Amino acid sequence: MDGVMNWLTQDRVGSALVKVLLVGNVAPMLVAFLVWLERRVAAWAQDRMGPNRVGPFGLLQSFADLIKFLLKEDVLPGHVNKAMYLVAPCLAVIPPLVVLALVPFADRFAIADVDTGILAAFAFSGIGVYAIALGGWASNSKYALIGAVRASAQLISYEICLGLAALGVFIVAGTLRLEDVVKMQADGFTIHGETLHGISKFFDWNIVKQPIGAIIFLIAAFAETNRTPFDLPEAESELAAGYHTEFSSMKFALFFLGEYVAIVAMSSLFTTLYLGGWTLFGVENAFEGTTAQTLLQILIFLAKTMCVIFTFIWVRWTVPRFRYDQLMDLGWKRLMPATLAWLAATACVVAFLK
Amino acid sequence: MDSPTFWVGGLIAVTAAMMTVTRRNAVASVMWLVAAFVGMSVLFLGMNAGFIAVIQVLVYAGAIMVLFLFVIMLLNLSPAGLLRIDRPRMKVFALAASVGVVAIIIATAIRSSEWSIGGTPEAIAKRSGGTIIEGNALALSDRLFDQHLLPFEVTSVLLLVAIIGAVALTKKKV
Repeated sequence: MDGVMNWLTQDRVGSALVKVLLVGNVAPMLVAFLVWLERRVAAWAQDRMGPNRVGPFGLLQSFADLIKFLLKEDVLPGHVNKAMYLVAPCLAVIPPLVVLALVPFADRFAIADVDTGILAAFAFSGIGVYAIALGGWASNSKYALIGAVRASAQLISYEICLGLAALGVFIVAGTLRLEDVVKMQADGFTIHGETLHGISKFFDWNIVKQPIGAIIFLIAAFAETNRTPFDLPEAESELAAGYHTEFSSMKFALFFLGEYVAIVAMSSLFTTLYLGGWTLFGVENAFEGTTAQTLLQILIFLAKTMCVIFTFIWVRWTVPRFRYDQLMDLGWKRLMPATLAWLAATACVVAFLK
Repeated sequence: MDSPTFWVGGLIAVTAAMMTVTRRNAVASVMWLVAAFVGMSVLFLGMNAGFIAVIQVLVYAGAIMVLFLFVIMLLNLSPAGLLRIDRPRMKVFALAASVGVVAIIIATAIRSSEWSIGGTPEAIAKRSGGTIIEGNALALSDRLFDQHLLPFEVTSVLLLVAIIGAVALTKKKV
């Protein structure tokens, strides 16, 4: 068993393929759980029961829904641009899955450990805009097009804040590599000549060093994943269902899947950048050098990611949707200057401490 | 030349570029252009320039082309409304001109000494005197903010002028 883990954590084509299969299958499973969680939390927030019929606590509800999606008639409307209409749902799922490939789930356990980790993650999540833009345009209907135009503008606006907020972390860390960012948060930095130990290692997490940056990153992440309060692209009271109004059965399900995989990807990025990734005050080094260590690290990572995902759901059922001018106002006139000021302050402090 | 990355990236880039200029639907052209940028990014990867490869996707494929798509979607161009070249002689001339340009580029490339050395990281290293220069963020920023600081700053001023100009031209008088 230890041999298996050793092989997996080495940089080889074979182990990478196995990890791709692993992550590529676990992520959609996680999404199924996530959809159930979302509906249960929503029900809890609104004082009702939520799905509780299929399986224990309604846990199998998502699978029942999936079967329904697969068996429904796959309508191809006559007025659509066929090629683009078919490409869009695929583009919705692939980029967020690729982002997951860059995240280090445990020590030496990222599928692709690249030097420019976070930039590559942003690059691929940026490609996700095409799914929405093309989906809305190819549908050849007013509501879908309005949804797509809104979405593109929103995603481009908040992408800038997302990148700038993350930049603060890299000024502190001095590297773009995600593994090194995690390790930097675990190494323990010294205050008055004393290295932090145990629970006080919490002060080494980037969320403590970069509080404003973390908040802005999270807000921008909500906007990037089209979650309430930024779900204007699919504001059902105004636009039917926005950019995916004309999509049915599995094609709609792919958009849905893509949105939730994007939430998982953004949450794991937030965990990696700000919450110390797979580390937990030294607990992660129990069972040194064994398979159990890697498994423990993955568990820690998943637990932290789950907390962030819960925040996504929590905010969705707490804050109402913005108006479009409020959205643009917040993005460009408030968040953007705030991020720039924070970035300048961070750069000054880092330069001063050197 | 002999690396598979070159052939894969080159094939994607060239095929996508051909599709870009031959599509009638402007939205399809934009998407093929995105594919071409991704192909070029693969070419950069093959030259050990990971940072530039990622920036290529991030800036061109991810941001600039989205704006292209945005504008084209709103213009709602129909294939019938596109400018048609009705003069057959113009078509022949355009074809001859483009084939000529490509032929000149290929001929120049083959005659150059770099052709025989190739474009693999090792070959590039040999040409630049032994060491392999990784195209990562650190190496690039060393060059950019040290040797080429002035041109870099001048470029940023140029971009700023362009932005201010665009705002000044399009802003309504209040």
